[in-house]
Amino acid sequence: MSSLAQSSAESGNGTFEIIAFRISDQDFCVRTTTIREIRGWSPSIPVPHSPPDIVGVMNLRGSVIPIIDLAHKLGMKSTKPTERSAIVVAEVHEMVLGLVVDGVSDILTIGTSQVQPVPEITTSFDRSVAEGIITHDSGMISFLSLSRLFQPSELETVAA
Amino acid sequence: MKRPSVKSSLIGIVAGLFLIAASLSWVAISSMGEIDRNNDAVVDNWLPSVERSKEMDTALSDKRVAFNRHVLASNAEEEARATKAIEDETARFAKAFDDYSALVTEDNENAELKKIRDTSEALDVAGARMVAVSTEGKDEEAKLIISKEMAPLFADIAQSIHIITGINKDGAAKAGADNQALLEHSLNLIYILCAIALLAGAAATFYAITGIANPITRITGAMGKLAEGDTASAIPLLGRHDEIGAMAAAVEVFREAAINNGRLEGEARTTREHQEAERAAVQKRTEMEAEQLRFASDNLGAGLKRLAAGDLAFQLMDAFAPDFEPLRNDFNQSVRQLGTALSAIAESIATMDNGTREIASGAQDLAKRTEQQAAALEETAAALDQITANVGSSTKLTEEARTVATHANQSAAKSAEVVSHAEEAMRRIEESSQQISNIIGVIDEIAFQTNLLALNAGVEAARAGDAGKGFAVVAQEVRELAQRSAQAAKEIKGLIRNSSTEVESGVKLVRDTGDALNVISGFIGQVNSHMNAIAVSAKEQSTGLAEINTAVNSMDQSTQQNAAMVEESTAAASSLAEEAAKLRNLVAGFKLDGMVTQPRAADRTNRPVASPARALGSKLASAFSGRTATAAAVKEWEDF
Repeated sequence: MSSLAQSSAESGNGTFEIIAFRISDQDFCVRTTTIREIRGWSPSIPVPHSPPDIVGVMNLRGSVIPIIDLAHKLGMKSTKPTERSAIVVAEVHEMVLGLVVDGVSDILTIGTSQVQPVPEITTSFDRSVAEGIITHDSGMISFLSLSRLFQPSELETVAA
Repeated sequence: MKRPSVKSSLIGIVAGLFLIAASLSWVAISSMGEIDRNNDAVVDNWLPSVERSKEMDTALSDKRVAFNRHVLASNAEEEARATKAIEDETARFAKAFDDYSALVTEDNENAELKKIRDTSEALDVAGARMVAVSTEGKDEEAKLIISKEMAPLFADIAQSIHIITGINKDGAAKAGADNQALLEHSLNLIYILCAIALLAGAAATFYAITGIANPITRITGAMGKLAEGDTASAIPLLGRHDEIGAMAAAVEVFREAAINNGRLEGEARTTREHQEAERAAVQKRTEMEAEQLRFASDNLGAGLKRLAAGDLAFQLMDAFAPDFEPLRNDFNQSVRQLGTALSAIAESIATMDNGTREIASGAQDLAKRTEQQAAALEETAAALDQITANVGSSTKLTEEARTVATHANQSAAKSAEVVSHAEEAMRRIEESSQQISNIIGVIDEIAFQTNLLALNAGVEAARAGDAGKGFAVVAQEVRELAQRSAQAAKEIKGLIRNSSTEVESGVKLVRDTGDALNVISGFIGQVNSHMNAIAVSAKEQSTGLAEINTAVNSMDQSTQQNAAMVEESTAAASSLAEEAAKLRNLVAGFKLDGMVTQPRAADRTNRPVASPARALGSKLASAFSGRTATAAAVKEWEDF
């Protein structure tokens, strides 16, 4: 269903909705359709011998899901979670996982024209994880592609 | 070799003689015993043996005769008599044989005896056969038996008896010879011992004479000479180690004691002669000294008489005996020193005159100064009055200042109370702000949760697609509301934080004010205590002033006493002058060597001066008029 919505959003001059959030004073966003839920911060249980970007696991209404430090995953300095931090529960490659963010800003409706490609000169930023940059009146938002950020093989490792 | 003592040598001599006598006795006794034994052997053995052998011989012969008679017997009666004779002789022979056997001592005797017994038995057998033959009447056959058989037997027995007799004779002879030898040997031994005894007795006698009796005689002679007073001749036998040596040593001690006694007597005689000579010399010297003493005492008596007359200008010129020369020198020295002392006294009297004059002028000066002191005392009294008044007014002012300070202190205490109330109120405001802040926190939390819910609603709406569009709008509205309330809460939180800061600074200011008021209160306390101290010191000043008053009064009295003292000093100076004049007259009575001083007449200064102290009386009385102490002083003043 998500792939259907994505395709419909990308085709034509339509609009689509994003959820904007902040990590270390930087704005990022993902498609609303990939999100299943937004939760307040609660401590997760650490898993031994887990990769450095895995914070731990948590119990989401009976099902155990991995919690991922998105800042670390994006190659940024990970911040210490506060009570204002949030966990964005997303569904990627039919796998549910939680992303730790500093705070959820807004739900925005964005026109397709607003999405601009990532400049090639910014080599320091891995372009493959960003679908583009969305310009906004409050600034610029990196439009992340979760399906590219998390490769299926990687997810299997996490799940295991 | 050490000579043995007399005691041991005497014991030795006697013991030696006793030993010789004992051995002599023993030799004699043992020889006698031996001779006796030999005699016994001759008497008891050898002679009886010879006798019995003879008896045997006789019996044998009689037996032979009896046999012959038996043969010769012509009838039975004779035969029977002959048989009986044979039996008797046989028994007699046997008895003699047995007796001899008891005395046998030697082997060859035994052998012969055995031979005799055997032959005798054979003879008896032959005899019996012959008797039987003879009895049958066969005399010829019996004769044959006697001659052929029995005769040799008889001969053998007789020969054996002869041999035995010879043995016994030889034994007796041998015993006799033994006895003779023994007797000779014993006699020789006794002769030798007698000779030894004689020699020993002679030696002992010689020793007793030379070793003991002669030395004792010599010592006795020496002792006799010593008793007669001969101490020069030496004591013999000194150094012998026996009793005689000890005796000589004791006599030597006597001799030495006698020599010492002689020497001591000589010394005593010499000493006595010396003492006699000395006594004579002393008597002579005493007489001479008495003469010298008389001369010295006469001279000294004359000198002392002149001294009593007051003449100090002379010396004793005649020389005394050497023993009394120091006495003359001392006398002269005393007269000279007495003269010098009296001259010095005369000079001192002149000096005392001058001193008396100086004392009089000093008394005048003192009177003048006492007057000035009285004036100063008057001024001091006036000044004291002024000071007393000033101290009174300052005490009053201090009292007022103390009251004001007490009021100020009370006000400060009230202000402190107000400040503490204000502080309390501020703290309450702070508490309320804290509570408001907490409530705002809850509101903020609710807004956050609402926002999350709204976001989730928005997500749900987005996921619902077109159907959720309306719901998305509502969710958006709710989210906006939540954001607004969160914003408002944030603003209120800021305001509350500001007001908290303000309240905190207000509290601090109020606390500072309280501290300042406390400091002011402390200062007021200090001012109060200073005021108290001032009041106390004002009181002390009053006391001090009273004491100064008393002191001024006592000074007043002292001044009056000083005036009296001045008067007394003047009187004393005049009497001193009079005493000096008397002394001068006394000294003038002595005739002094080389000193002619005339007593000076008492001059003007010796008179008592007019008392300046009396002039002071009125002045001091006026200075302290109206005071009790001064009144008393005035009363005392009258006494002067």
